[in-house]
Amino acid sequence: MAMNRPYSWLLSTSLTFALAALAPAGAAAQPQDSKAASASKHPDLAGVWFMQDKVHPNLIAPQEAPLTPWGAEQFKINRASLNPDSICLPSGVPRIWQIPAPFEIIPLQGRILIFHEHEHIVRQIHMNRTEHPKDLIPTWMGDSIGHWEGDTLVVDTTGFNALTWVDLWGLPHSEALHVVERIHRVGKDVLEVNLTIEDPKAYTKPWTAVRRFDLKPSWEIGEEICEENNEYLFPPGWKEPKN
Amino acid sequence: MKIRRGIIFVFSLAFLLIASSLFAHHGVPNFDMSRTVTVKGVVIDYLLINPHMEMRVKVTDDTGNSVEWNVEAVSLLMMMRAGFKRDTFKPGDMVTVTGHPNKDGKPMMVLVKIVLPDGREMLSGYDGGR
Repeated sequence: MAMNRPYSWLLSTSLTFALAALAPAGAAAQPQDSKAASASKHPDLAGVWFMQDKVHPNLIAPQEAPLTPWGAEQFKINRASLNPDSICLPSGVPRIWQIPAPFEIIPLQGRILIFHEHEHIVRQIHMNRTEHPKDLIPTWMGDSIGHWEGDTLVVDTTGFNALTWVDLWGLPHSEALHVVERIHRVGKDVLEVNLTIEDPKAYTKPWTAVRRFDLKPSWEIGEEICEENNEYLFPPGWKEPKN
Repeated sequence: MKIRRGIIFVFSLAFLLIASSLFAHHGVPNFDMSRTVTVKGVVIDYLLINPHMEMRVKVTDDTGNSVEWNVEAVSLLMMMRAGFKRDTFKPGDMVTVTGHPNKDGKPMMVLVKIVLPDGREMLSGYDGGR
């Protein structure tokens, strides 16, 4: 039953995500009151959103990515490897913005949740913290803190593990990945996410990308569990990644 | 016992190879998203499942040679939003399938649309994979 080990490991990973989203965020926990959030002076980003474009595997043309020698080597390795998504591993950030599945933004008091249909991944944007905890244990979706700059929600995320790709094409990152997402409405029903990707180990300088999403008022987030058929997705010889 | 274990191993490996080739995610980079191909054939099986819909279609040419095409699309929920149901297709149905072909020339595609015998056209929940 060699297949069961990674399968159960992935299932527990997903459950951890779900529980982490539902559990109070340690000492910073605040009452979860969406009414309080909606009465805030900031723009209401709440709703279900879905990507505008057809699928595009690149966030940046690979030849334009300012790869370091380490990054270039890692990119070659990734191109010859299996996309981590394809075996139901969490997408990471910013890769999650390329997934063709909707997400819901849920403002709470002190936090904003981004609830992705894909894998039921829930990101917590901590609005009542100004710093990342020290000695973060690397995670798939990182630690996110947010603040408002006018009408723009600025999300700063770090503390990633190095087990995901930056985009579908296989651009790499290390545990030094730092992503800033500037999220704002550019129209009544259009959301724009401006991404800045910084990783001094993988890239010689920060680079940017933009994604746009349409509001889907009639959509609800459903249950998409990749792992339910994951036993078929592990190719022969696949080994559990070493974190 | 050694022979029995060997037989089990060989069958397990064969299953894994077949199953992984049938159901594995292949990912958009493996497909030419700028081109489409259209094939007409008979549904072998149709699975409205996660991580994405899977369909196999048997396409037979004029000389009687047949090829099995593997058609993959996006997640179950995205396909349901586009009107696909669990019983939309059954083995034996004749369908015309259009999709983005595999770059290596394998009989695989990412679904764009399916035309049913009655002329109804069903678009994929998203023109792409993941």
